[in-house]
Parts: sequence; structure tokens; C-alpha cells
Amino acid sequence: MSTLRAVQIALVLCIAGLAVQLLTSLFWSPISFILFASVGVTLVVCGTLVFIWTVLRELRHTGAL
Amino acid sequence: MNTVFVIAALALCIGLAVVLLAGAERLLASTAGKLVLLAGIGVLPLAVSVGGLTAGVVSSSQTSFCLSCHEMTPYGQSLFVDGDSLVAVHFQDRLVDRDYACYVCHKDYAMFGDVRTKLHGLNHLLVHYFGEASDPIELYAPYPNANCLHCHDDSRRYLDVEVHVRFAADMARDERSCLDCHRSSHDLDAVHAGQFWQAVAR
Repeated sequence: MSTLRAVQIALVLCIAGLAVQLLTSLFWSPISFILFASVGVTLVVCGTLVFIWTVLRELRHTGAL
Repeated sequence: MNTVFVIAALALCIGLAVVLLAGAERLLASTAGKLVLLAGIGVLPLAVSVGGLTAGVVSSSQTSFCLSCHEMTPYGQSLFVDGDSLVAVHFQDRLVDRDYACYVCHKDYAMFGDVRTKLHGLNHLLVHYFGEASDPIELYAPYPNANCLHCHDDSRRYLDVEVHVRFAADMARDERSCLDCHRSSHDLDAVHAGQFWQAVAR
């Protein structure tokens, strides 16, 4: 997978997670809080992890690590 | 206020992420662009998520949050009953912060007690949406004196009552419960009888 594609995937995951968080924040209730934490935050964390993995892979590829 | 701030931060963060997505190829070509990507993917979304999560956890400690489930309706109404039940006195005389009335009396004050209390709350949500709450609702364990003593322990009004001092050791060990004498906590009989304090009618 190219670096560009990996970064795009990371961004899409972050956008999806933030969108879930935004929607659940607009309709705040016990169930929306659960969705905020379990779906929204998880998607953002996944996006960040994909980005970190991409950066590490790039650094190793260029010999910086 | 917290919710408005979280919504604004989330909207800004989404906007930034969309812009980054559109210009990702160009940003990857320069060091400055990569730093912008680091901030836009690695830092900001996580920071906003943690902020939102924190606001949510604080919000989940509020009385309105606890009472948003229908199972809790009579317990919420018992805050307003006319009489000397513990709950009514504490709420109506402002002995507890009304916005956090449920949490102040029912949270676990031990180390990591907040985490345990929130996990119990999560279980309550699962029961609410996917199960059936017992009727009447029962506590996980007998009400601990520590929750009362957390506030009353060294208060003058409490220490001026002779039996409190006489049984202090027993109560500290939970061998004698505060509720042995102060029997009425949530006065559901008064709720069902419609005996409410005048504030309800306002």
C-alpha cells in the first residue's frame, strides 16, 4: 500500500469517527454517549494508529529508524 | 456549555481533516506538509476525542443523566417528596449539589471508585437497553456507611448527636448501618401517594 493511500485511509477513519462523535453530541443521551465512546473514539484511534504505522514504515524505509 | 464547545471543536476538526484529505498528496511532498498531517491526524482528532469523552463522563455524573432512564423516574420524584426521608432532605435543603445528587450519594469513594462506579453505570445502560431492571431496583451491596461518613464524619451537626459518637467504631466497620436508624432513603410510598414538596408545582 502506498504512503498516500495509507494516509488517506487514516484520514477517512478519523473523519468517520469525528462525524460519529459530532452526530452523537448533537443528540446527547445515554445511548449516544455509548456510541460516542465505542464507535466514534474507536474509529479515531484506528485512524491515528494507521497514520503512526505509516510514519514508522516510511521512517524504516528511508533508513531513519 | 461543554457540549457546545465539543461540537464546535469536532466540526472544526472534521473540516480540517477534509481539507487534509483533499490535499494529502501535496502535503506529503514537503516536511511542513507532513507536520501538518501529523497535527491533523495524529494529534488534533485524538485531543478532541479525549475532550469529548471527558465532557461525556462528567455529563454522565449528572442527575439529569441518571433520571433520563424511565426506571429511575420514581427515584427522581422521591427527591421532591414532602417529608424527612434522607434523599428529600439532602436534595431539598441543598446538602448535596442538586446537579450531581445521585452521583454524590451513590458513587464509590474508594481508590478507583470512579472507574468502578462508571462501569456499574455502563452495566445499568446495558440492562436498560437489552435487559430488564429489577423492580424495585436493588443496590449491588448494602449501602456503605462510608458514603454517608464521607461528608458527615467530621461535621459538627453529626458529632453533636451522642449515638453517632458512641457507635462510631461499629459504623466505620459497617457493623451498624446508618440506615438502621435513618430508615427512609427514597420514600417511594410518598411518591405513589403524590405527597410532594411545593417546588414540584412551580
